[in-house]
Amino acid sequence: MYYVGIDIGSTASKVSAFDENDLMLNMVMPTGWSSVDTSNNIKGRLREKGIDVEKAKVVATGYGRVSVPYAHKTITEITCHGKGVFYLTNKDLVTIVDIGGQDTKIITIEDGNVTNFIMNDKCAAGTGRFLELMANTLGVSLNEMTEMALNGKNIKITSMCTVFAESEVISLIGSGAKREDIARGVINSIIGRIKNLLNKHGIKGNIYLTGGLCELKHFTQLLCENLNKEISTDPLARYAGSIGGALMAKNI
Amino acid sequence: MGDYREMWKNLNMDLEKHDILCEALPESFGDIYLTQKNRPDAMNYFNYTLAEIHGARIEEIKHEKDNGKKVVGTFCVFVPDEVIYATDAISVGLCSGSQFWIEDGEKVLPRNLCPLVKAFVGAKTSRTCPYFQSCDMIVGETTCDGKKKAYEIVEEYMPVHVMELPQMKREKNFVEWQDEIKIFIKRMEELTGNKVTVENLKKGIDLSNRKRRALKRLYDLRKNIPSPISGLDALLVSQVAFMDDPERFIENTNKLCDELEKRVNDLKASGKKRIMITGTPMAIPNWKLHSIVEGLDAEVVVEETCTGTRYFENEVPDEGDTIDDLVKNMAERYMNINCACFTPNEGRMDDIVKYAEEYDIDGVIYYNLSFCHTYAIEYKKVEKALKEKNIPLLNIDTDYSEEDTGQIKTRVEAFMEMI
Amino acid sequence: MEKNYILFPNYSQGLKLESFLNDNNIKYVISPTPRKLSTCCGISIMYNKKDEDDIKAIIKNNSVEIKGLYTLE
Repeated sequence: MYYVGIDIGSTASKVSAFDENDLMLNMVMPTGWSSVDTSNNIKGRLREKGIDVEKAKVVATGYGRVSVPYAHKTITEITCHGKGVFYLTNKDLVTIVDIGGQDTKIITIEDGNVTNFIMNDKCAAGTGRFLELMANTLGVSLNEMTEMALNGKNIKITSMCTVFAESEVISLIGSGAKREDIARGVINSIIGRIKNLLNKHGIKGNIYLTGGLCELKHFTQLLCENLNKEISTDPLARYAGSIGGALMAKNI
Repeated sequence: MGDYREMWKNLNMDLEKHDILCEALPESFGDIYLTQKNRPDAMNYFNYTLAEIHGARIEEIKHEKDNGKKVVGTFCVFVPDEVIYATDAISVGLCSGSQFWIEDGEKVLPRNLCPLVKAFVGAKTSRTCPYFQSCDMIVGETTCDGKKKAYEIVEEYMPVHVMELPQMKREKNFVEWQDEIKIFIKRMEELTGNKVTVENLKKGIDLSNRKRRALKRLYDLRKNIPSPISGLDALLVSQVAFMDDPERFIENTNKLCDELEKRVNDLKASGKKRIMITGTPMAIPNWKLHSIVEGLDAEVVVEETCTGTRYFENEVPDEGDTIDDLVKNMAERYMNINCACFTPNEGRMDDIVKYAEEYDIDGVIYYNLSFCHTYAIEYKKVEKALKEKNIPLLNIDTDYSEEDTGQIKTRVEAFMEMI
Repeated sequence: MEKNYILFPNYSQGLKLESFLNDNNIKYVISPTPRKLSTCCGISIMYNKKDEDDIKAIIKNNSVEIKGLYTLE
């Protein structure tokens, strides 16, 4: 029997699978326009790996969780992240910072169970989407932007709003500011938002970063410096939601 | 069904615009309410009042007006219905729960304002609320800055009487509220030409108390596990209470309770999570949070809101031989409503903790209409009080629009998975 | 799912039929009139198809005025 977790995020979709013993598969793909197409696509890719969703247990999570017709159960990404991070860290007390494409969440887990969480308000400020847009404006990739930021001096980006921040960045470029400095300003702006959320929520135990940005080591480094706290993450942290989903599929 | 266009036209309504509002209701009510399983038969009465909310009830009010009665619109549970009833006038709680009115409200008000305030101003300026159009006067109160200032704008359209509600609960504030009630009595006497007497004020007190008792009976029944009525249905009953003929409302609410009492014996444990909602009011047709919660494996069993317990808790004693005595009784009752407009407001924390025990609550959702500062700030106090009792709490800040429904759903769902 | 509605010229005829349905123990739901059936606001009565003949008889025997019986998919 296979246990599959499918995390349809606003930007990327993640899939993880366990056999009776081990985590045997993790894959990621863009979500694209239609969550339904994505979920069909996933079905095909799982079949290529020898997993027939009709015979497996499937949990869907993420904002597109309702668009996976073959899922046996839907569970929110908040609960799934909790389970996934507990699996990855094996620590009793963790504060998860999950920077998603559309929202940012702070989740406290105690003994693998979510005990408290908050989410950012209904806008893109402080999310992965914000960083992506700013990288586009600067004409670099996300990874390049974080690397540039390491060598830059902070320029304060005053606008919270993604749309206004974009035009602010454009006028900074126009005024001849160094791209490294702008990149640093952009990264600090998002870190500031995360800091506010963390302060509001309270930090218990270690901080653990999940979401697409955890692969950007420069970003993690800047976040550590700025918060003055140790932050751990893992190459698999991006899959925390789908791993958690797959683990919970075992209970179906 | 019926053709009410002539009546609406005579009320100087914007028929074209009003039609857009009418268009939305059957579908949303059908989707949210009529898809519920195993509803009590007696809810048919409340379906009826909702379906005829701009029809039969308005016709009835028009008939009363033709017979010389006055109609008074209110926005707040602090306005004493007793006085309105004593002067033989009709009291209607004005609708301000629809996104439909926001656009018109924002034409005259700043955007960063509570949706309830924007909606009631929009309802008036757009001439699409037949209750507003039927009113001879509206009665405001100073429970928040938004409403307080918005009445100045509404006053350009119709007569307004504003009651100054004290914002502390010292002895002198109780006396101040007695004075306000006396000023209101005078204004109602002028409007209706009817004198307030000990006798008719006692009748008004009795009617208001019986209405409170019927609602209290309904809420007490919700303490059963599982509740014999959905939170959505109970909310509708509370909402209808503000607009319906009070005697008929009492009769039908009691009929509903009779049916629920019978149901209680046959219900089997459902395992649904029991949720309390606390915070700001939900006016018709604001069913947003209830429908999200009850779309999951959960039931709303109590609302500590103005469209919930704050409306009916505590009766006004009818002891006394003079109008002054009765006014004092009324002031006592109203000043003991634990609204966030008061400072301090510790009574509200006590209420919430008490209800959490009485209703056997699994989790509390703090419902805050965006830009309602008093309730938003008081969240911290409630959080602290509930933490001490180890009761889980979720904060939802939202308005009437649908754009954040998906996000709220995720939060509420995660909360249910957590508790 | 199919839904069946009775529409009335005014609400009092609707309430009149309601009381007869109660007397005869026929289940029904009062509903706002769907816009697909009429642009006039107000009540209609939703009923179960199996009761249709009984309801028609009640309407006839008690001369309840209706606008008609309708079915929506």
